[in-house]
Amino acid sequence: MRAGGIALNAAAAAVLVVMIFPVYWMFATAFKPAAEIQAETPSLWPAHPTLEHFAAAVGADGFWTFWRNSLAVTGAAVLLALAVSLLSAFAVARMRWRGRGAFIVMVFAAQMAPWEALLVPMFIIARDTELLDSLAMLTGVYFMITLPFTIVTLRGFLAAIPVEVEEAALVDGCTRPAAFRRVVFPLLAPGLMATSLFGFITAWNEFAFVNVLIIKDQDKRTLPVWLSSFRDVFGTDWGATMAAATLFALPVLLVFLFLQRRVGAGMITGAVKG
Amino acid sequence: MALILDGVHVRQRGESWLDDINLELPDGMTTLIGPVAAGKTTLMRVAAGLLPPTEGRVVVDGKDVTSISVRKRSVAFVYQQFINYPSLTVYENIASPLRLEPSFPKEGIDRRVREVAELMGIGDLLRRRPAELSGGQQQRTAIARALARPADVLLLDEPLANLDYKLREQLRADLKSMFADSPGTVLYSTADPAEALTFAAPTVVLGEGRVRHVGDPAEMYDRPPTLAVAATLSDPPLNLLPGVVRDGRIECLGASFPAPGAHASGLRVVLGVRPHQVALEPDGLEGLAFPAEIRLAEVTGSVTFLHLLLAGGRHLVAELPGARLFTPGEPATVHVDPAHVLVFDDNDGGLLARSAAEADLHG
Repeated sequence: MRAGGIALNAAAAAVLVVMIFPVYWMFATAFKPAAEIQAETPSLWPAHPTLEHFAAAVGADGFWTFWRNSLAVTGAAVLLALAVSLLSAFAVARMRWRGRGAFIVMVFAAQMAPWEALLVPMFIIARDTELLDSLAMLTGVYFMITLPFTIVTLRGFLAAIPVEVEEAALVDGCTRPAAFRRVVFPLLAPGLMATSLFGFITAWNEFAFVNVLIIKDQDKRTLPVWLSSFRDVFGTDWGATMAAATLFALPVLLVFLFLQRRVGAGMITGAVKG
Repeated sequence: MALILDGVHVRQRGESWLDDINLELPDGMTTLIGPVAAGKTTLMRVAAGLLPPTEGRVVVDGKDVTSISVRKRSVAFVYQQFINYPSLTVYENIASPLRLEPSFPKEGIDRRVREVAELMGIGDLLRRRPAELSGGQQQRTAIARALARPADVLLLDEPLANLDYKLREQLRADLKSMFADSPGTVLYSTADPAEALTFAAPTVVLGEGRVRHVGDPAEMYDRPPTLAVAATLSDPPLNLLPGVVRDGRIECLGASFPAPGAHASGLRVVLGVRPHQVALEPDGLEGLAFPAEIRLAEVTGSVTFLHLLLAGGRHLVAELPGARLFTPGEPATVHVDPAHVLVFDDNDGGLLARSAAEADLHG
């Protein structure tokens, strides 16, 4: 291997270690007994692995409620965003209509606005429409946050599929929806996977809006907020905190592992040659 | 089962794409030839039902189908780009139109797919996906899909244009026999005169959205009725030289020859000379001779294209047999036999006569 290759590989390894280490530390700490966590000399891996912290986290008050809330809000927001963005992307990529250019600019602008700037307006809207402490409001907010990105991404995937492929299906005798389902949808699958993955990560990890929109009804909180209050629940039980954090990170990891092969394959294989 | 285009106009964003197209295409093959942007693809899309005409009717087998959507018509379409369903195998691509045809017996699908694939020479590729095929194989798959279901109208829009020339020549040789069994009208569009001449089918010349001429391609090549038709059917391009009729002779860049027929003195004409009719040796002919300067020699192997500069900055290309070496900048004398000169009226582009010699012969 040439010197340049070695340097590049070393750089890649360094980046990997820096990125992975905090995650590994969370994971390792979750399995260490309390004595090991508090030890003067930290150890790189658990000498006596234990599951007691996981038991504590799962047994903690409201764990399953918050888990269910997170899953419901995230899932609903992602599905909603996919359905709406698929139709919008189709309209933008395939149809000619007045205001199409303005619409695209608007979507991009919406994507650029920092979410934090919307915290106060969203709070006021929720308060005035009596939607504070409501999971529906939270779902709506996550839907709104993920929508611009999903539209832009899916539009790109759709635009890469030649119209002629769809036309060919019409010539073969398909109806327009059937042509979309039979021909376009399989080609779009990697795009749908990529966007749903992004939407899932965004909504699952979101903290600021839950914190502002769920104020009185503590049973409506989601996992990130619950995790931030974990220290109060357990005192300074780092083991249980890390176990809860691991359980919180797990779904994202599973979703990613499930989708990444399709996403990766979709990015590499060209749909059409010529 | 004739396909009729009756007074078809297509206008888009204030521009005329097709202008009063009136064609009656019988069963069997018809070639549609025209330069780039002549309106070939637009005409094909109107004929298929993929583009509604702004004005006019499309009639198939005596039935007005103008307002019938493409999926309810019996058409097949092959694109210039190799269009197949990327997610389906070659087998499923070819089977697709058959599965969607309710009247086609389910148990006959497998036999038909294999039959068409054999015909197109892709019988051993049925389990591959389009991305795993070469360009030529992809286009063979697309043509197989179009041939699988017998259609009233089969449209092929420059199907060989994106292939490299060897594959193109190979597929061109195969194509004509493949369409022989097609029951309906086959319309094949191309910009390549060699394809029109090889297929030897009735040929429609299209230019600037209008039908320029309809006829037999060899006849049109031999006696092009207009300059536009001659230019469309000439590859390499026709050499054009200015001329003028004076006292029964045509004068051109200092040389002259007897004018074909009687024409008023002062009539401006355009002389069309095919590159292979230009020689550097007089060959004992009382031909036209022009002093020239050699600019560039392109050797393709079997022929040499010699680019020459004539008096008055006129450019002329000679196609000479064999690989020959020339030195740029050297003088040369160009000989053209008037018998092979096409004389067009400069005003309307119409052919005056094949040549003086021929006029003498027949006159």
